[in-house]
Amino acid sequence: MDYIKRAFLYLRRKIGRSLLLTLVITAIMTFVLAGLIIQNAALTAVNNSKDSVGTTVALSANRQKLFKQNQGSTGTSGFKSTNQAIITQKTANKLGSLSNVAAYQITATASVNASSFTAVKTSSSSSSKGGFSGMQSTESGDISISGVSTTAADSNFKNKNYVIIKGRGIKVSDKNTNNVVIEKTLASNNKIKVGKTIKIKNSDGDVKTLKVVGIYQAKTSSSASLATTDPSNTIYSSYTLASSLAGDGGKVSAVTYTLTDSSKEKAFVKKAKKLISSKLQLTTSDEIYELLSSSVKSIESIASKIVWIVAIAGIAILSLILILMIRERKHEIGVLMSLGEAKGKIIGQIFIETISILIISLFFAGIFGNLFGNVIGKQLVNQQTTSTQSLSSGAGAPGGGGAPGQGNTTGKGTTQKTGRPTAGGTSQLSSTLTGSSQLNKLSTHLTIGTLLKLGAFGLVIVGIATLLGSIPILSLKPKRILISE
Amino acid sequence: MTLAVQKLTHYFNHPDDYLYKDVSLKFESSKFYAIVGESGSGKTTFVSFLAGLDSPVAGTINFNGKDIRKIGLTKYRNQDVTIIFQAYNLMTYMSALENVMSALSITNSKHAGDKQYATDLLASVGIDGDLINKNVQKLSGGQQQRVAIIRALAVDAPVVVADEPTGNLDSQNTKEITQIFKKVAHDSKKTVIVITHDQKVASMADVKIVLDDRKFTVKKPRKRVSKLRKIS
Repeated sequence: MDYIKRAFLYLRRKIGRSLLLTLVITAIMTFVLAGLIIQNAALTAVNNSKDSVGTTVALSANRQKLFKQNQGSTGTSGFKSTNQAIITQKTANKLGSLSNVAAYQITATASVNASSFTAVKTSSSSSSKGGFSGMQSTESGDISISGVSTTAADSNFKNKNYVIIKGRGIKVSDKNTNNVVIEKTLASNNKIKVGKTIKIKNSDGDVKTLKVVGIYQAKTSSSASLATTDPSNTIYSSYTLASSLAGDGGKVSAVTYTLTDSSKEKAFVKKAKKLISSKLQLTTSDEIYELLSSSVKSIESIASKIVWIVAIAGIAILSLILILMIRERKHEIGVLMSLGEAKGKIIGQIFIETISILIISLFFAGIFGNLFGNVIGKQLVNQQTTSTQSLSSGAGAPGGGGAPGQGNTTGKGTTQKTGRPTAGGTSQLSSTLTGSSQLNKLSTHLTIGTLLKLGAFGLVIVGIATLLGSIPILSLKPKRILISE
Repeated sequence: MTLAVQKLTHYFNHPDDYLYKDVSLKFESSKFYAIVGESGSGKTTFVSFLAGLDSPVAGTINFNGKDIRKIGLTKYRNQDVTIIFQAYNLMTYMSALENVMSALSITNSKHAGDKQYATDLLASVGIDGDLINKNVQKLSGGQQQRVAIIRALAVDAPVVVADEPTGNLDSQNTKEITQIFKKVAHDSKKTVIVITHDQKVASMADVKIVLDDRKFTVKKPRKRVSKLRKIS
């Protein structure tokens, strides 16, 4: 019976001690696994965010500058919103014609009232209206018009949060048309079918007839959920229609340029800056990515620290337990030494015992870790969604979080006519929210990779603990253990 | 095979307060030696040197002409000597058979893994049937000592050192076990050295060595020994 067989025999015969050690190692491994799951989830979140943000440059109003201008002119000419659509289509197209631009998405938003149909009523929309009635324009429409170049390039459709279920989406050819795509709930509530027309009323009271060319389904809440309107009340149209409905005279609120190569980003920004006025600003995907990933990175860093702290504490605890167990087994070790067993083999026996227990513990830790993973994953996603929402307003309007002019606050007889969705529907917002959508899909389940990583950590912990715990064996003398005069 | 003690000197605290000084003894194969002495005379310390469990302050123990420290005490214990303790010192989580099988494996005996060999040996001292697979802690003192003896005798080591092996046994068990030692010495051609304070055990030995007043005295074999050989 060699030392390997002896190790298994010991584990079987000393079942109580084996179970105790299994419990301790399972606890250590579960904590390490929890840390690894958080770390893995955070890394995945960062990577997903990076993928979703892509290589894009967003053109939008420089709200900081507009806000400063507003502050200076409040006393004389009244308060102007910083959320104005001030990008001319000419500027948008000029930048689009620059080299390295693969595609660009022009966005404009408008808020209108339903005329020939009824908007979908939800508790959130009614409460927000009531809750912010003092701040929000009473003229705010119940329908949000989201103007885009194409729905296919819109982040919600790209991420399949929104899916066209009937008809088609908005295309570039829909420019200067009244073609729209409406949400499934709105369509079914009002029995609207593809090919039918609907009527809306803008803030001036003008009624416009829109042609429904497609119906989409909002699977999860996204950008619209941040606005005061229900996602079902968002109608997609060409940006030209949204701009005219908002009374912006053809001006749009944001343009997102997708570049052919991420390395050309700086060169594009440099060229583009020469073509735009100081009231406009360019935001690169790197900046958005940094904003989006900073909080996730901090979680990853905390998780990494948890893993190392638990690993070090695990080594200390396990070493201590092994030292105590070896002290109890001193007599057995003495007998083995009297038979001429090498100390290395005695330590080898203890190592095999601990490794065997580690394998069983990994199985249990895997089960508990899966449960932990779900709980931790949900918490992480919730935390990320919250932080992303706060980031999105920051990204859309640098310094705009505290800007009194943001949104559609009427102020002193403001010229702003209809309420535009709160954050202005900038491309930064949509990009950031794309990241948020990725987080919603984030899987924190246990993977083979994480288990292998856990196994490696376990092996190192058990290896070091066995070596430290076995140090007393090196100084043991069989005579002192077995013979006392 | 010879085991020779040369100019062995040992003390614990001060050289003047020595346990023994310049002791030289020679142990030969096929002989059963009994070392007798009063309690505290240093018998167990002496046996620990012979068994390679400890080293004396001065002098050497040579196995086949080579200092056991040069052989390496672990290797010496593994290949050349086997020890039987008064307190049995069995592996408590094992059965009688597993204890013997472990010893065979550890010492790389030619019988390693031979279950039948171990079973037959145990049966020869009355450990058979259910007793073989019973946890050793559930056996009586006499049975445990027999297992310990078989564990020591089963291995290939040519020297068997026993420290008060019959100390916890009744007279009947003592007699039987002493006869086993004698048989092993003569039949297996091993050197059996038994430390005892029991004069009956000593009287059955081929050579009796008395440790008295820090001196070892070798007594000549007596005729009774040959009678005992005939009995066994």
